[in-house]
Amino acid sequence: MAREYQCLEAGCDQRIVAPDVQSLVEAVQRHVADEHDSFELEDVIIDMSTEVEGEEGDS
Amino acid sequence: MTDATNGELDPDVVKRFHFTREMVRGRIYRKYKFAIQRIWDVDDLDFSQDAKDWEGLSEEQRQGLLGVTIRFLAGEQAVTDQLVPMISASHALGRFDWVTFLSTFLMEEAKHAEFFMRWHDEVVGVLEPEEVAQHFLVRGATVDPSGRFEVRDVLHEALPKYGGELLQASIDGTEEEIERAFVRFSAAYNAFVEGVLTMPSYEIVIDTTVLWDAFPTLREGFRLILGDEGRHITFGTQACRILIEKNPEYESEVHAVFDAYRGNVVGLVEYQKAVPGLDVQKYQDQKVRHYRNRCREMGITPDAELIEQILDPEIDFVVGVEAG
Repeated sequence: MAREYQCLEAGCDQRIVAPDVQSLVEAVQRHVADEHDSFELEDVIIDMSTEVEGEEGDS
Repeated sequence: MTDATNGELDPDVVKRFHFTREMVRGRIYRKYKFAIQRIWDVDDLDFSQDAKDWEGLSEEQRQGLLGVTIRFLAGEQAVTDQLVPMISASHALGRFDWVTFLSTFLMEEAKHAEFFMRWHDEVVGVLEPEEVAQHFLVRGATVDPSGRFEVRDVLHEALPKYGGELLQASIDGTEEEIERAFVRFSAAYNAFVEGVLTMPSYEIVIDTTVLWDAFPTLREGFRLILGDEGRHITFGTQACRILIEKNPEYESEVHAVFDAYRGNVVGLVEYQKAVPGLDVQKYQDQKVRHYRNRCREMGITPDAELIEQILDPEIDFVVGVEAG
């Protein structure tokens, strides 16, 4: 099942979806680096990711 | 041991065993396993290029970088030294998976302190307390000109205070007193210090090494340390979440801690402004993400006024840096 994480940068709140946890970690870290010139910690992403049905991900 | 007369287990013997299948499947135990699988050693790092890069810095660059790294050197020693109350309280609460994870937490904090000790010794040439203290930027030199906020030394003031209360509660307190003190201490240690206040400092050092194209081992050390810190932060916030779900009144303890040290988080403090050439506003804005992340992990409502204050460009501090 796909997993989702919401970026909480001020003014962002983008939801990122990926097919599995490892892909999600990479997608979120890419988003935070590209959009916010920053980084996000792996455990933060894993702990607050949620399962989503019917999504193939990487948005 | 089975009672020979009726086949029932002796509860005193059962209590000697703590592992359960639910515990082993849980998030806290997973963090322990991650920590074990990802152990690294300071001895594997080579500081020689960093030592060469140090020789090429101007005096202003040296003082700017040292302003941050010396804080880490003091801070990592402080958090190593202040973790015992959390272990004691986890034991008192019968949370064996928390004690198990904290065994890796304490080792990792000691290793982070060792990393900064080695870096300062082998790159800068300072190690003895009297040598490094000369570069510690004095907190009293950071002033809010509006007079609304007080900038306090949360690391060396709040952690001993809340840690002392937690240790005492774990010895003679009720379960509720231990849990309440745990939330206070973890809110200060994991959520505030590790999870919000220090995050800009990590970014400042990493960005500095990129900007100057220098100090590859300092950057690598920060990458390794941040991998550990992610587990530490989310252990604390997960523990708070568990306790707050049990008693929602504990949420107020988190907000009280953040409120007590509000002045430290609404602006950047002296050592975070000491490196020349960085866009420091970026780090201030990112604190909102870190704060909202911590609140989401704890399952609590963020303080909207605090977020507004962090983002308010008119709230800034006058920085008069003095060496300690």
